[in-house]
Amino acid sequence: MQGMRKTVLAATAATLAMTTAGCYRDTTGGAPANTADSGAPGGAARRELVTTTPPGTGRADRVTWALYRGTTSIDPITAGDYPEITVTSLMCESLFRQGPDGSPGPGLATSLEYPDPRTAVLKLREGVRFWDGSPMTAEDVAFSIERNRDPKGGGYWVPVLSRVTSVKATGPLEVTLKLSRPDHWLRDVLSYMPGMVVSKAYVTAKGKDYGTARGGAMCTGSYKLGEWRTGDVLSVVRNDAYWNRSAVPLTGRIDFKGIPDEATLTAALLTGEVDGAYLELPLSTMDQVRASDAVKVYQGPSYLIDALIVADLRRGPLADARVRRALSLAIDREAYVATLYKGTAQPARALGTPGTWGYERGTFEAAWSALPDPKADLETARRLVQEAGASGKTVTFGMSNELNKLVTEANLFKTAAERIGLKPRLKAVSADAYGGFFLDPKARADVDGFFTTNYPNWADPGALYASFALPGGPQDYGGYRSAEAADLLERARGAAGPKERAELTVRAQRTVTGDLPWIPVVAPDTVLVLNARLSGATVSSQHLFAPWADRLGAVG
Amino acid sequence: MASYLVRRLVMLAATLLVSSLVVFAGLSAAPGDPLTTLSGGRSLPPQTVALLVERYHLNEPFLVRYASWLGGAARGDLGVSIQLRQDVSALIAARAGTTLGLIGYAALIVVVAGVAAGLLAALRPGTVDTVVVAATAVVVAVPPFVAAMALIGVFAVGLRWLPALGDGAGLWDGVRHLTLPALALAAAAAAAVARITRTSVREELGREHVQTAVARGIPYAAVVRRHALRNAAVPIGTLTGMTVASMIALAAVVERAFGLSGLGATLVNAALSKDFAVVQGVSLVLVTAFVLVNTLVDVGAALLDPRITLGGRS
Repeated sequence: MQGMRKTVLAATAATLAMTTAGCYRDTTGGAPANTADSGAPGGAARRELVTTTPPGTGRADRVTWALYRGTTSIDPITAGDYPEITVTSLMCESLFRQGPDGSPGPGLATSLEYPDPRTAVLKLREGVRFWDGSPMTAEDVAFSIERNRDPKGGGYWVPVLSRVTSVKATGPLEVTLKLSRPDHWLRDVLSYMPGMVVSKAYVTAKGKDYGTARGGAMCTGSYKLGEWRTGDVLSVVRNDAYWNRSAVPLTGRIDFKGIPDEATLTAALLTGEVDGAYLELPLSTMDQVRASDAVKVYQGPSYLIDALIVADLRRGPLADARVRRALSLAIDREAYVATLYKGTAQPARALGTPGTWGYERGTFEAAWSALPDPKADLETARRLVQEAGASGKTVTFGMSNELNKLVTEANLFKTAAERIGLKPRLKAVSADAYGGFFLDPKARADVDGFFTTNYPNWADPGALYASFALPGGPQDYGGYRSAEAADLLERARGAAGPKERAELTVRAQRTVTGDLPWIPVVAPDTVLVLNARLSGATVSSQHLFAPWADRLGAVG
Repeated sequence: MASYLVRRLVMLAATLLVSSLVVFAGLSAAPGDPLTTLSGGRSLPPQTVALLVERYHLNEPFLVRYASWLGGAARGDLGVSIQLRQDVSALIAARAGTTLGLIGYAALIVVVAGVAAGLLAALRPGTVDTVVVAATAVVVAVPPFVAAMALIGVFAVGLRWLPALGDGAGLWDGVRHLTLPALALAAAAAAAVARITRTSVREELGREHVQTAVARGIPYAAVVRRHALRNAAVPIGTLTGMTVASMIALAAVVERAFGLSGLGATLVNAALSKDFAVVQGVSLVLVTAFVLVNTLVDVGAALLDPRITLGGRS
């Protein structure tokens, strides 16, 4: 539910060159292991998406992995952006685990039971050990959850645990959580950073230094922290005493390096100095990378959604739902996918894209297909603008010229607005100041809309909708108030059965998609570039939340 | 000489004080908020925000924050990075070696390649001279980031001779990793030094004392070394020193392009995330280095040419 903002992640990638329109090549490298349906029912081009690459067959000593910048923290409570969570997910394990296809499963906990609606009981796995050999206890688990709840801890995940009132170890392998209201998102909240278990003794000893280069970390995962020179390299090394003998990694050591520059990353991948990278931002050199024999490019499902956030639903031309709908109808999503994403995205009908259907897939798929195809329809759009009396009115989009993606996206909306009789204006700020739109209502007051690449933290569209449709939610930027959507989402959160939860979520989705407080643009794929000598990494948003390199090893 | 150095030292202190104030003020005035970094860019409950604001003194007036930073710096405490939660002095110590190595290597290339090419052109009029003049005319106009891209394209991706990324481990590997970055940094400067060397040596060779020495039958090599090159050394040395000083700033571009973990790349990152303590600390080091290099150039020039007096008011 604490959807996170990805646009600002590229604050340091300010040197991205302007993209030239590239031709769309529908290729994914390699032989897919689990070919999943691309999930574009209703006529969109079907592409081949894989959730994992074939498992590696041999051991690899050392692999170098690129991140868009260096890692700054490996403490789950302050790990929220790609360079932090990609690395932390390899070392620390959460109570529940997201599968490569988004499906939830047991992790360090085996079950979550609700003896009564306001009580949740976690049963913990036996025989789990930290890197130092000490056993994981209920005390460690209660301590780890409490750290996330503590507003004084400076952690990011306080809001997602808002319904929890107390956490107590009630047995050697049992932890009981008291709730203010029924909460059936709890298992999923405990399937990423807020659910990661750290050693109480170690954290207490290190204090504020925990999770930094000086304090290190103590978790239970199959990789442990090796050398960490901030700004240069963070290494994780195989934990040979890993408690789960069946999942001991094939790769001995992974060196993570921050490479903000696109050209440098491309060169490093092509020369083999970097073995792999998840491309967090569309890469303008994609065609060059695809043409190389040294690497393979894989496309998989993701939770990502690229959207326009309406800055304030109470003022300006976009306060009128008809103008928002007109804008949505006027944007050329296909051209945007071809130009910026080079085919690694698909037009989005709603914010809850196919990659986020982690349960009750049928329900979500049927609802998605029932939504209109996002094809440009200028005639209807123009009529809507005229009906709303908005013709000739100025619409301001917040953007930054330092980020290629924002430049392309802002121009997409500018063209669309011009075509339907609005007067678009682009307000350019520095890449750093762009983050202000998400934090500062005063910055938002200068614009009518700004762009985001967002995602829910687990595979449930409801998690994303709740972040802005519930008043006071972590992404309540535009003051969207729909009693109906809010009520449906609250009920979904309180619904015990997955079927009921999915149905309530889908109904909320219908309301939100009609109101368009955010205008969905495209659903980007997870893009993995991997050296041809390696295989086994997952190709989905799972790499942000769960171990993704256990099967990574040599091939051929 | 001693009084000159003392005066230079006082000037250095004054420069550091002024530049730290200017950098601090500039960073404060620039848009953006350290809270973005602290919150990971997401909205946090008001309680947490209040706590972070208090912990990092974000609400205090500019002058109060500057004074407290200055007080710490005077005691040798450069503060803590908000982004990495690491001591700034430790952070600088870990990165200074890379930048020093890069600039040293580049300076070596500038001196050796620049002077050699310039001498060659001066002593071998004709084809060699034309080639050197034409080549340096092109290279002198190539900024380091363009040179970096070209060098990566040719030597790392195309020929696979040298690595394009990172610092490397150990001496030999480190030198291999620094070669392309140093070339990128040195290319334009080396070309400029070559052109100055060529002109200065030509000029000296045409002067009376050189002609006399040649006429007296002194071996030509010795004439070039002792009479032409020695006199030309002052302009060459001054230009070299100035370009090396400018490399301190340009290193940031090259470090980013080659993924080197140096002071320049750190400075850029810290400025983007409004990590005040890091920006201040690194700026101090860079300004000090700049002043030191310039002082060395002045002292060197005085040693080479007794007519130059240090800090003269004429």
